[in-house]
Amino acid sequence: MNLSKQKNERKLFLAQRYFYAGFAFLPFVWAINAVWFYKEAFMTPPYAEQQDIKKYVIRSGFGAILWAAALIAWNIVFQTNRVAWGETGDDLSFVIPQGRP
Amino acid sequence: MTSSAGDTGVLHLVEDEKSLEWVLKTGPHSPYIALLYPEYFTREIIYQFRDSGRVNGVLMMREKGANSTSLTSFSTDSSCPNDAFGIYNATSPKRCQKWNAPGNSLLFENLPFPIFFMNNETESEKLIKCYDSFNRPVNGTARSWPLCASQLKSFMLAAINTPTCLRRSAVFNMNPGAAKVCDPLGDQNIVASLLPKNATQSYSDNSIIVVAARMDGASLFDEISPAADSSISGLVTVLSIMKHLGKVREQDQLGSGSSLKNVYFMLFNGEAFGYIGSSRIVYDMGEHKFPISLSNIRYFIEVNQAAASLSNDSYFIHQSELSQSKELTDLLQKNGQQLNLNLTLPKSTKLGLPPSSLHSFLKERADLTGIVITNHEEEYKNKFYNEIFDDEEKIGYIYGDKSVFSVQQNIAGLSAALTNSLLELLGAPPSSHVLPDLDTVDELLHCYLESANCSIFRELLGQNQAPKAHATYVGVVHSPTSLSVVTSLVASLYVGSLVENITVADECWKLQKEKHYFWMNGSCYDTTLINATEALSPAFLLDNYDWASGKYSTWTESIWQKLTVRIFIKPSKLHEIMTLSSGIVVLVLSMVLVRTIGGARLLAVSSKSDSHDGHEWTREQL
Repeated sequence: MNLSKQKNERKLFLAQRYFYAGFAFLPFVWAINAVWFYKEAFMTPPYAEQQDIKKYVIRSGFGAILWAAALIAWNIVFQTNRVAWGETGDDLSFVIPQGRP
Repeated sequence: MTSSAGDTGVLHLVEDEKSLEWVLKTGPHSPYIALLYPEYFTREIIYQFRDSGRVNGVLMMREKGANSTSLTSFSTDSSCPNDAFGIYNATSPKRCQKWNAPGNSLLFENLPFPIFFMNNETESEKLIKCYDSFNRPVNGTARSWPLCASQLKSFMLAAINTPTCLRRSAVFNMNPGAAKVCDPLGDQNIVASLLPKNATQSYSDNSIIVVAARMDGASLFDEISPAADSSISGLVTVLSIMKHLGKVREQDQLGSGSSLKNVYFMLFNGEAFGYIGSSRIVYDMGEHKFPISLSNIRYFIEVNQAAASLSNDSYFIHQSELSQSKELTDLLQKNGQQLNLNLTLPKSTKLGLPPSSLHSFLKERADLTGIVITNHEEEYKNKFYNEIFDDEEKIGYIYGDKSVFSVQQNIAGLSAALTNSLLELLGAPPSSHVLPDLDTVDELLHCYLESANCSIFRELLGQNQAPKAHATYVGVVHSPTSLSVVTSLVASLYVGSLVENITVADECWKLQKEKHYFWMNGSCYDTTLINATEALSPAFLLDNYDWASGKYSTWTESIWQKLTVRIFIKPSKLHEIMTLSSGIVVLVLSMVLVRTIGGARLLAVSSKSDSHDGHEWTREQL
């Protein structure tokens, strides 16, 4: 879909739909929303719906960054502590490595 | 941890201080694979290898030189074997008596690199030759690449400890058993009763004699565990006693009227790893899953290391502390005397009981009268306990040597002395007493130490037996070792009763299930009295067993992948990078070249001219 060829109401509708969809534990939808609509929100000449689209892009981007930070933090904690957590560590693992703790 | 792809390193022979320094600090081509002779396989050196981070593996060779008498000791078991599973708790002064003084405990250490043993002399020579040609430093300076290198692969799937690996093995997997990473150690014990048990009456207290030995050994290296003195000597002694008593029984000379009603023979497996077999039998007794109970046992007689070969060697009778029997020890000494065998009591009373299966029984019944007969008074005479060099050579056994002070003579004498003592205890007349059976002992030692392709084993199992000795390592449970299988057949042959009216093999086999008949050695034997019991530590049977309690043995063996050793000539890292880079360059260049020349499109054009099949190929430029 070529975003620039869409009607403004359609663009606002999509940005809004993607923003709400991301609340269903879908941070990647937010990331895509922020990247896809970035040009429309900040770089094209202003039009009526642009203010709202800007709002959705910023909030989606913010949400995506928050998720990324949380996932990275959890990954680091898990990787460094999996062995120390013993049985819990094994319960949380999908594939337990062979030949090493 | 060892890698699943194998650990590679440059070979270096560690034969003196300088070469050791080379591997640990000064050599420029680390990581190394240390090549060494057994003298250098010590705890300090292995720890230095581990701590330096520059050693990726160890290859040990046989002793240098044909006569191989320079190695005075080599044992990787603890200096106090099985002390955590014995009757002495941590505070007792008798806990660790340094019985196995040369023991360096490497068998129980977690070492992060593969270790292999080169058993074959020609392979060792190849390694030395490769090292001399490529790697040996000249005048203290390192040689340059290419160098002789080796890759050792011994990848173990399990990690950390037994509760962890068992937990990880139990993880759900679509393919049942695919997640398994370790197996408990275990095998089978062999229990034989001399006389049939009366179906109606049970045994009264203190009415049974138990004669026991251990049949397993251990070592750091797979498939090589001769255990000549460590366990085979005791095993052969007890097998010989079984043969003597079985024969006396067949001749109806056992007598009666004694308060001692029966003899139970017990051959334990897995003793090297925390008394697995004996602790299981004691547990079974407590659970009433065993034909006799602890209170039935009047005397417990165990034969431990029994290989003696010098003229002034004696056997020593170590006794349990609480309940000692002068009657028993006097009887043994008297019968030994009659056969010119010196059986004495240890002089010192400060020594505890040496590591033996008796400990498992004493733990549950402290007032059991038990004795352990060994060839050592204090420290082990055997300086190669539970390791690869505890073989026929080190005990001085020569097949067919029937001289007065040979190993076979001493063991046969000990077996006869014990048999005669047992006969007296059972109330048999003096005319039933036996003489040493040298031939059987000689042949059994040959079978267990040198070659399974011997007359006794062939008669039991068939003509095609492997020409080497069976390994004594207990192995994993549910997988009976050849050693325990053949020993149960030997026990059946000696203690089983001949079924005289069956002379045809087929008739005998037809009654196998119903009456336990076995066709062996050209005759039919009733083997009801001989049984194999599972030798698996009770730790694996109890729900919610506390793994940290140390009450029972909890050893498991990791699942492993194929073990391989490779040696090759290795170029320098720079050379390897150059080879890879030039390969990539050639690839890229060839792609560019093809693009520039232009793809030739071949077109088949039908034409009436000279081509014989009516087609002419033309080229068309893109």
